[in-house]
Amino acid sequence: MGTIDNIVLNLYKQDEERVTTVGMDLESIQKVLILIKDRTVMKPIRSSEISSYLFCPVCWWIGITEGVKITSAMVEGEKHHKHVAENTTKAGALYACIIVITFILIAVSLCGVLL
Amino acid sequence: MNPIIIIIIVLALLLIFLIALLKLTRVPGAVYKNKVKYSDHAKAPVKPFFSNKYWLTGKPDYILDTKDGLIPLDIKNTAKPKEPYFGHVMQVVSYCLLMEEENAIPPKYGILRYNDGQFYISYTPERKAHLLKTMDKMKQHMRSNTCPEPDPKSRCKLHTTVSL
Repeated sequence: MGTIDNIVLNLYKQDEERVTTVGMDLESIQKVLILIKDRTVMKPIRSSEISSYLFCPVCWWIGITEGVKITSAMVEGEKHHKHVAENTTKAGALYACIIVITFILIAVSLCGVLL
Repeated sequence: MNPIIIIIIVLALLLIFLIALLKLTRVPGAVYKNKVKYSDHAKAPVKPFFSNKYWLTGKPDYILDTKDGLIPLDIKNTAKPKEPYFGHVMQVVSYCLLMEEENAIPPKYGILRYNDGQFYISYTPERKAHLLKTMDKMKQHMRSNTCPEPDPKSRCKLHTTVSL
């Protein structure tokens, strides 16, 4: 079994935008995926696969031999991730506001005490 | 009523409202309290980490620049268990390994975030050794093209006793 040099595949995210992350065009990626499916090359182990293997080695094996399966859980996971991404900036701004208001509250309280 | 007391009450109510809004965003506190060095949630896609030595790849949800150095954070969309699931722990350890390979400095720990809480996962030599052992087993199956035996202790409801 051969190996693919320095190519990272994210099999669960094969949309065009994600494919560009590995610096390959869609056609090249599809060729690589066929090689993996035919078991003529070995792909690198993904960190999430380790979790999958330890959850159930048989499920992991089915996943890597039967190709990509987007389960409802994965789709939900993706939605959640997008949700987190959209809210990160908002959370940062809210956190900054909370700190500022806390300082103002302390200052006003001190003024109240002094007056 | 004293105008200062009114201001204090208004500010306190505003503070409570903002804290409630912040909780509703469900963004882990570690993310907005620290500088984000890497995010798999950015608008533009990010490059995964890759180790040629270990033949391992992965994208942590976040890498945070904390007072303890660069720390990976992984988000799981499930309720917080009493103890973190072992597979999730090893996934975080694998991000630590990738970061160690990338930066030559091992992270002290990683953060595993569940819906309602988080765990700090220490990056110890024992955990690293266990990860490498697990990866060796996976590679053996990939090379020999053989399905692993079901794990009777597995949380999987489908493959605990039945062999394929």
